[in-house]
Amino acid sequence: MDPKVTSAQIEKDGSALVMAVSCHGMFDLDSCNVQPDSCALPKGAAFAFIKAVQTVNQRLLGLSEKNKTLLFEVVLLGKDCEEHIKLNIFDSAKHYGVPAALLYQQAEQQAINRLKVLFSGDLIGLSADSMVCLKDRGFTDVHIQNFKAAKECLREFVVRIGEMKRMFGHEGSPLHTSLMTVWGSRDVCASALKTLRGWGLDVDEAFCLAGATCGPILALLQPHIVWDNGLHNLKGVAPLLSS
Amino acid sequence: MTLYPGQVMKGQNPMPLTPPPNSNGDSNDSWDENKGFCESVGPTKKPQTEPVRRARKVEGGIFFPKPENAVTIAVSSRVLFRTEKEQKVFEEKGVEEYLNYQVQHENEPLAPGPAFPFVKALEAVNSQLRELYPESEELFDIVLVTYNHAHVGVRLINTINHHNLFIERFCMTGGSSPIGYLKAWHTNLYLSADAEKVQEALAEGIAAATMFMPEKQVEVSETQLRVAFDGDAVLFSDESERIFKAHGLDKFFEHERENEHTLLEHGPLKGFLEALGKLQKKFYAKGHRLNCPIRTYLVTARSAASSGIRALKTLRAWGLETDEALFLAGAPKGPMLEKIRPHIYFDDQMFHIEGAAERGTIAAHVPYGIAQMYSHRKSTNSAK
Repeated sequence: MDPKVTSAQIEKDGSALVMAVSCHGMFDLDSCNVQPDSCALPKGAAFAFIKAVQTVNQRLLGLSEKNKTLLFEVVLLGKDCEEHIKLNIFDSAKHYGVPAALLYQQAEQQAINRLKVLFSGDLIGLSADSMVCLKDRGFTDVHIQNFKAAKECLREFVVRIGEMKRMFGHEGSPLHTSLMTVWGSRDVCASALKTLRGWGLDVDEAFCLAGATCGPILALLQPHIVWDNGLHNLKGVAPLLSS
Repeated sequence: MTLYPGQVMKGQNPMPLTPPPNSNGDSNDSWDENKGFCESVGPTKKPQTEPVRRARKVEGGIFFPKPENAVTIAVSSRVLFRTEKEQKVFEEKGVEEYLNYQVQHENEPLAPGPAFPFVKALEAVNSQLRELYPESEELFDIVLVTYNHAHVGVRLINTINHHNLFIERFCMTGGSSPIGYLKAWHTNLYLSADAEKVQEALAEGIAAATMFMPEKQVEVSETQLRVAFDGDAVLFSDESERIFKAHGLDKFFEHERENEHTLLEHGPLKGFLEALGKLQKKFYAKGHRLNCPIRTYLVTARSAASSGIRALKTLRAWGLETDEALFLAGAPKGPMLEKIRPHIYFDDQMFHIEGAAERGTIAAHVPYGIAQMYSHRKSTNSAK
């Protein structure tokens, strides 16, 4: 960690944006057995994410010392080496209403200067009323309750991201936000854009796929975090991070 | 008025002979009830008594095909709609003011731009295809691809709603290059107002052309999509054009005589003609050869008697004969295009684009090949 940004520097008034990352996300623990103990573990999917978070923190502090309250704080979760436990954590986070996002594997390690967050337009664009009709699509009441809770939690996260983002201009911002509506219509996308704006965040990019596969777009977009909440199944994305 | 799917697809004549009075909008109210992504749910939460109350259907793949199965046309916001006023704000006041302006005016729909009649014609063909082949995904799919910031998204979506366009897919890349996304969408044709982006797309092997805001515009058919192509450096490579530009007309004729039996290499728009041909065959298979809603034209400066033969032979060998082939032998293209009234005419030479535009033809520039080094030279219009 950069000594300039340690958790000690983050105000302890509960206002920092705390993210918990599983140790699987931070390091590639699968190679534990083949690597000698003395070697550092290979970097995991979260590594580029942590570096990007550090960049945002440094830039925030660079703007003003007052921004201490706006910083990200990352907590490493260690007890999840078994796959089913990892899933348990993810499910528990959902269960307790802790917002959970997915960490997208970065194909290149270059993405450390900008933190890219992708939000699901399908989740954000749906009103609570519209969510009821998800039942016709094979989702259970529990799922729908989770979506409602997830949207509420997401709101807090969006508000904080929006506050951070306003600290930077449009040009050269270390925070990059996108909205992707995978199977909602353009109107769901418009509604999501307005909802996000209402929460204080104007996203940079918007994609409306109308049922087209999101893989090729995700591969280009290379987000660090995908706020998806299981509303659809994103291929190649593993549930690794809860925030 | 409320549209039911059946009315949109069948009840309403998909291609009226005369334009309905409100074909360019003012019928929003019919769409407001259809918002929301579920067939059964709209934001106004009206009790559902009818089985289906949606004119548009996203999921299921019938109405919105997979990009790889469709003929994907990517259009930029500046060719689909008129945005001169907004461009001016951007150029004079910068990006922040521009974004504010767009948000302040987001309930004011933008007027149709140069690609608008083309897109409407694509949709008219689609509705006929859907009637003939209800299950088929072989349709035109129009994707709005813009490097606009997502701030502008709400205004663009409002505008799409206002004009009743069947565009559900878009990407707004917030300033980064949209070229990568064109590939992700399996784009068959990209139309943009930005010549640089068009060149980038062409360099990636994607058919692309630059469109301009015409000063005057002639009425175009609402019942038949008409697409006209120049030959050299558009459907064909610029091989012969190079000989002509470097060594003159005599050498050009000599070269064409010598190579009469050699096929021309394919040019940047060949793939798009191929895609049109594939859809035309679907109409022929249902007995719509004579009244096919897609018609293609070759409009070339080559002459029928000599150099035109090689062009025809090449098209025949590709299995891509245009419905009409016009060999102008150096005569200006404008008057002929005025008679054809295409929804779009592709040419590699700005001289021809300007000539066509003067007479109200919607022309798109393909910045490809040797002619780009010789732009705006009248001598390029000799008989070939």
